[in-house]
Amino acid sequence: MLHLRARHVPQALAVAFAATTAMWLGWLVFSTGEQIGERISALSIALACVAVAGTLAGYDESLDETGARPWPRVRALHLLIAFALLSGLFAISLLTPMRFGPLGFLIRDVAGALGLTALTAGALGSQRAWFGPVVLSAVNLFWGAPDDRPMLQALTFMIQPADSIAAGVAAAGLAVIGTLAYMRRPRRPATGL
Amino acid sequence: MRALRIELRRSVALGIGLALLAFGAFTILAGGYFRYGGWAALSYTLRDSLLILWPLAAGAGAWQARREQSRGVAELMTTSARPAAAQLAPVAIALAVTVSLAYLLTLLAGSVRLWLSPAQPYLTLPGLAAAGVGALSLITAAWTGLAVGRAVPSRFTAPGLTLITFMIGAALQEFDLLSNTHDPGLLLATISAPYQQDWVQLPLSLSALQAFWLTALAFSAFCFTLARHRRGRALAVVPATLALMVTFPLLPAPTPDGWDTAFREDPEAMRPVCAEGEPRVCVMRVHSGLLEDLTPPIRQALKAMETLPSAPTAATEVRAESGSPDRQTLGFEIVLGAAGRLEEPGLITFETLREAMAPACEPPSDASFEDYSDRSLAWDLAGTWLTDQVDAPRGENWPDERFADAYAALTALPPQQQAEQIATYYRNATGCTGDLRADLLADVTGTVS
Repeated sequence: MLHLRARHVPQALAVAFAATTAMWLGWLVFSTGEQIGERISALSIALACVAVAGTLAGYDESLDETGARPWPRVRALHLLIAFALLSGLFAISLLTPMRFGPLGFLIRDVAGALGLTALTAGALGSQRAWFGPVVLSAVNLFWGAPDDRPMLQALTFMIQPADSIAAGVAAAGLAVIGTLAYMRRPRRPATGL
Repeated sequence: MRALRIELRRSVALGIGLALLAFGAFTILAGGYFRYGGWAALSYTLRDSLLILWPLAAGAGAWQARREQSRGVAELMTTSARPAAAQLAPVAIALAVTVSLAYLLTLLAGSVRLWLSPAQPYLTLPGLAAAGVGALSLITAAWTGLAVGRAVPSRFTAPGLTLITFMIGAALQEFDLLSNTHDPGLLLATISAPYQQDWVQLPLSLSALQAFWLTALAFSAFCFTLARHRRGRALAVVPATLALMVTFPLLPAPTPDGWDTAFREDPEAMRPVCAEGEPRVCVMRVHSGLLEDLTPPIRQALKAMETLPSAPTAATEVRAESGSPDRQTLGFEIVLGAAGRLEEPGLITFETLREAMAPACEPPSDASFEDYSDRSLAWDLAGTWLTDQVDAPRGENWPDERFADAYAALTALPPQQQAEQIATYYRNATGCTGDLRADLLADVTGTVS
């Protein structure tokens, strides 16, 4: 429990749950369709991943290193549980009159965005792990539209249709590389920001 | 000044400035995402990118606010003899300088590109005002971020604020929100300029209104960040609230199609400017820089139509939705490519002629699908015959696979008969008489189908 609290997991859960519910509720009130627009869905998923990003390290990463724990395994497990929780959270909407998207879309986006978060944590340090999903959201929002070109599909994978192969490959790649990068321990010392 | 220099180096100011500049420069320089044929239009178009820039600047502000707190120096600072405003000012100014400078440098990059193109710059006061409001809005964003970061000191604040403001922007695009009489979207500085419509302007009154509201919000955010107690924070919100109450009732009403609400026609931009010599070719003033490149292909189109009955004798630029002003004047549209240049100058003659040959009237209401496709085949045949550009790209509206055979059959006729066929088609198409398919396709389709 102390471990979870030190990593702000309760707050992260609250943030992810509240933001997702608020989005879902807002769309239920304002829209007449039965599926949330893919740009907003992608942003909701990115927001949930950013909440996870806050749990990727405690107050100081270098302190973690001093603990005699099997860190790579703990970290991989951490990501896996986060993935399961987020997928579950968004999948619940499939049972309601307003869904975030088809199941394939949700799982692909959660996996890809979470992978990118982990990758950013590995490359820039956990304090900056949210840079990745935020920048990707900006790209999605500005250039995001269904497109024929595979490169663009891969870049904006979060808003592509569920059956896009390039988008699926990009998300899977990010998930694998991100998990490996994060397991291998963040290189940068915490700067307190 | 020394404090400001230090803050420029060690705060997030420089980083966010460079990030905004990188994003802005990419939208301006690469990909041809923005199309504009004048400086005013460039200034309006750039406001669109605030959809991304505004949340990023706000997130940077929130992140900066967290720095002061996570270092645990906030309490220490309160013991210093310097007034709180003087302590906050360097970092707030550093942020303001870099984010607004990033916006203006992006605009400068676009301006240089425009000046290097043949387009007439068309620099106007409303355009300058729109650019100023855009830069100002980023200062507001950064300072609002500072205030939010101070109010909610959490590691989730900065990314959360960024993504939630992304969502607000996206949601405003998806819905026609809330108010039928005043467009709440105009409280954000993000405005989508109408695509490729260089003749619009953003009224100065609206820019003034937005500047007023954004300044009040920035002032409130600055005071909020300073305030150490609940009462000070409550007081800090007052200017923004008052400004909102004044501004909102003055906002224009939203139109059903959303974001173009704010723009009005600019009569000066639409004033016709004509090329020397005959036949007369005119464009809007805002496009007068392109006149030199346009005149030869347009005169070529006029020449190709010479043999038609009551053919046009002059040409003028028209807007996409309106046709030629009268039958003696050939209307043409200007399709912009990247930064003030023409898209596909080689196709201007062909495109203009094809538009000129379009049937003026809708087919009868009981027309079948075959009627429609025969009409467009006849139209395509006539348009192509005038230039003989068989291989010109036809786009997805011209999927008729009968075209190649029909065109071969048409051109196999004696020249005199070909010209008569086209002339008959033209008379019927523009005069809404006769049966377009019978006239042009009778001989041709007989051999094809």
